[in-house]
Amino acid sequence: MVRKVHPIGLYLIVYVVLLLLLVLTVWISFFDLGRYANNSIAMGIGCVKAFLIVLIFMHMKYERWITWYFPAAGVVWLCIMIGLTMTDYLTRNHPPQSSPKGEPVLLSER
Amino acid sequence: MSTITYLPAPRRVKQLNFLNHDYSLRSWLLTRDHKRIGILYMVSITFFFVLGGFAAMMMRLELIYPTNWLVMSETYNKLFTMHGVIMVWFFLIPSIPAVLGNFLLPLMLGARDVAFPRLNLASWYLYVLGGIFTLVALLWGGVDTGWTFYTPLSSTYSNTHVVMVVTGVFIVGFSTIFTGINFIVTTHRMRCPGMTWFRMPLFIWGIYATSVIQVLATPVLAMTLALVAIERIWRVGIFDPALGGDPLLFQHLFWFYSHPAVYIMILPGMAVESELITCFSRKEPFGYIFIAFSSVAIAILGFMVWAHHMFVAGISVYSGLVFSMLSMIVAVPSAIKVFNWTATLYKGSISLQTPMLYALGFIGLFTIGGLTGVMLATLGLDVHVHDTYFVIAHFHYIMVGGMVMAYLGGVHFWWPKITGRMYDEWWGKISAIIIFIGFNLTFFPQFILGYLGMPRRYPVYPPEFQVWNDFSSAGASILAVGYILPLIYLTLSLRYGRRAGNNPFRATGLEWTTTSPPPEHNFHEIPVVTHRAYAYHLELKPQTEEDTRD
Amino acid sequence: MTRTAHERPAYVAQQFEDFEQQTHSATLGMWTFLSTEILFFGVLFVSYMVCRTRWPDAFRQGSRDLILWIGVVNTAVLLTSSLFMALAVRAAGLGNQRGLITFLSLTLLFGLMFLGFKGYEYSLDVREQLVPNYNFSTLSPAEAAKPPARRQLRPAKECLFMVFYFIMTGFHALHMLAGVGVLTVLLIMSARGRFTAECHNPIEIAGLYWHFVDVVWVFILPALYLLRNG
Repeated sequence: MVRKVHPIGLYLIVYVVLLLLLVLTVWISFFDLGRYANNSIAMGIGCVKAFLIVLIFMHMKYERWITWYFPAAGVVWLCIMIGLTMTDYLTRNHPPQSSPKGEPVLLSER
Repeated sequence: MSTITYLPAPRRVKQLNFLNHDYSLRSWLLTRDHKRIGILYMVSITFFFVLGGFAAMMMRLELIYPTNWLVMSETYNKLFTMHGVIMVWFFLIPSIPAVLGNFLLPLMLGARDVAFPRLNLASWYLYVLGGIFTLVALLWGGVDTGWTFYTPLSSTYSNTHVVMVVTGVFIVGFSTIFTGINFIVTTHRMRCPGMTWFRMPLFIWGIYATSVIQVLATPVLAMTLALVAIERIWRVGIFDPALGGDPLLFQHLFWFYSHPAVYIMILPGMAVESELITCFSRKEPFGYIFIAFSSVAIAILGFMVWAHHMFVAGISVYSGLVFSMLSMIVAVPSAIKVFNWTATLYKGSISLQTPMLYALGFIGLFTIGGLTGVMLATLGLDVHVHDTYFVIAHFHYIMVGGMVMAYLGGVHFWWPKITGRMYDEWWGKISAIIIFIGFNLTFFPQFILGYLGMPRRYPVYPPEFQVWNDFSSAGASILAVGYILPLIYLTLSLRYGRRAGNNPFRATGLEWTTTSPPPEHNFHEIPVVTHRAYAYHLELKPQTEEDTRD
Repeated sequence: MTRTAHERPAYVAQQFEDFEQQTHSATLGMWTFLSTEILFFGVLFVSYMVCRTRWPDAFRQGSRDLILWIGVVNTAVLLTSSLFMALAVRAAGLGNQRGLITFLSLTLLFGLMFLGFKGYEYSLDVREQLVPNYNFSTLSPAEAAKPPARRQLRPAKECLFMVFYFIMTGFHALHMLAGVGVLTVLLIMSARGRFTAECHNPIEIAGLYWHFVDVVWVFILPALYLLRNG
């Protein structure tokens, strides 16, 4: 059984888009938009690029739905690891060196 | 209680099966047959069980007296470390999945083999290689960090062969990952015609959930241990506070793996339990869907509770609240299983054969272990009993009272299928009872010890704790007898045991429709499944002449 | 056996019923392995995120001290190699032997270019005295050339950032190296005509691995190199 062969144009378009996104993300990194904006935009563009690679280069678009479930599980589990670990680190008292952003106060210090 | 009737054994014509078609060493060491790989694992993990058990014996002997009468404290550190490392990674994690899972998964699914047989063999070789690294470290003096490898002891200050053991565990982690990949793909793609997801035996659901955990959790361990090794070798790392790192980060990463790891250890035991309870009650399981989905729920929720090992380590209180709540929730699917097994027993036609004795022991002991787990999830109580013998008793009730008994029950249940021989039933029952008694005598006093405040990992203790420690050590000696007996009578059964027919326990399940032992390619014809599993309510009509032989 | 010999091509392994089952199983198997890699690298990203939250200023300075142009060029090189890999898989599917060999060679070439640039970048990092436990110094060579009153020191915690940099890019480079090894083997097999339009599954599977290593780099770039402001 021969697998579906995809038009070459689609690959080239995606490649160009990826390079443009690369230029965009590097360009944005030179501006100071505040920590959260910079971080979110940079990782967000990274997610878009990754998604394009997975969808087109890795043929996910043409796979049956069950195949999606495998990398999706990896991503979801990574989010669990990040999310629940940060429940600890974001709710501790921060050391004095970093910029304060609403540090929780110890009950004993009120 | 039903009795077993034996029909006279007909004259045997030598059948070719997976054991006798080729006796050469090469055919065993280069096998791609999942059944032979399961046996290779069985032999290997038994070796490590004896080793880990020896460490435990030394520890329990030391704890008879309140002073360092047998070993120095430094040696005691090495003993409990090796006991933990060996029992967790070289015995419990591979036990049911690699032995029974490897053997049974394709048979239960009606497949000829797993999806990737060569990868399966590679898994076993990786296991052996990891074991060699660990054994070498043991011979060179062992490791004293505890199986939990907490930093900065493991990454900076320990003078023992941490990198060697960590490498061994890293390698055996990949053995686990490859097994998990194999089982997941096999379950998805190689079910025989008619075998839908909800017609699969519950054993497969349990093994599948275990494989998902194995695949998603073990890489985290691999990288975490690699980071410890890097910090040890190059003296720079992310766990060193002097550089700005956080030792607690190690604990987060380590327990992100190790808590799901305990579910890797118990889910297969629950999987076997479902098979044993149904067969020896002659009933289909109560709430098949709930048992199936609870396996998946445990796999998912088990990833969200890890910091309950760190309540007093320095995580924030808010984080502790979150994890405490999640830890209570994760108890629910396990409880559902216990309720469903009990409901399966109700009005069942129960026969107390050896596997059933292990299964019944499992339900009670696992429940005690599970309930004490909920106690530990309570923040306030955990502050008092963390790092005491209470915790040790809790997890040994689950691991030993639960998992090891399930493993032994499973080995006894499928022994005739694997070897074609029946073991001596009387010795089987006696051993099960001895194990049950020995186990409770060993570990119940440890709940009391922990509650009274005796810390874990200490070889010396206040004299008033001696009486409980002595009960525990006495129990351990009985438990040891209970474990040695099956080693003997199961081995003897290979030569002297009565030949078993295809289905000596009259169980449902595709594995019982083929010969004992099965032929090399499992089935002469791929079966077609037409009804759901556990059709005990239908009187089992034999499909061929062979099935009536017992 | 339920199948007769002529129904079953030789390249279908004994445990599978048909070719489609075999190829889909291989795809699922590789995706499962890639999920493990997501979590394997994920540990590094989580740790990085944790440490960045604790020392944002030092890590920002660390990002600035990395040599950005090499990171960007490497990204472009890796994306190009991914394109060639996708084209190689396409050529294999069409039975185009010349195309397959050409594109595999180009993929391999760009992969090696990536590793070459990486090695060069590491040598520049050594020159800049950024290597932890080896020559990391809070006084960079450029600052050392200035008069003492006008020197700006690096924050001490930047050493931790450099630890992350070397570990993350190091593990990534190891994966690239493994990929290069696999591609070399496949190139040799293609040159011997082992792959046809019907049976070229190893190329697809290797393609999945190669693209995944690219995806990891797509996240490493912003995490390490691009968070230099804000």
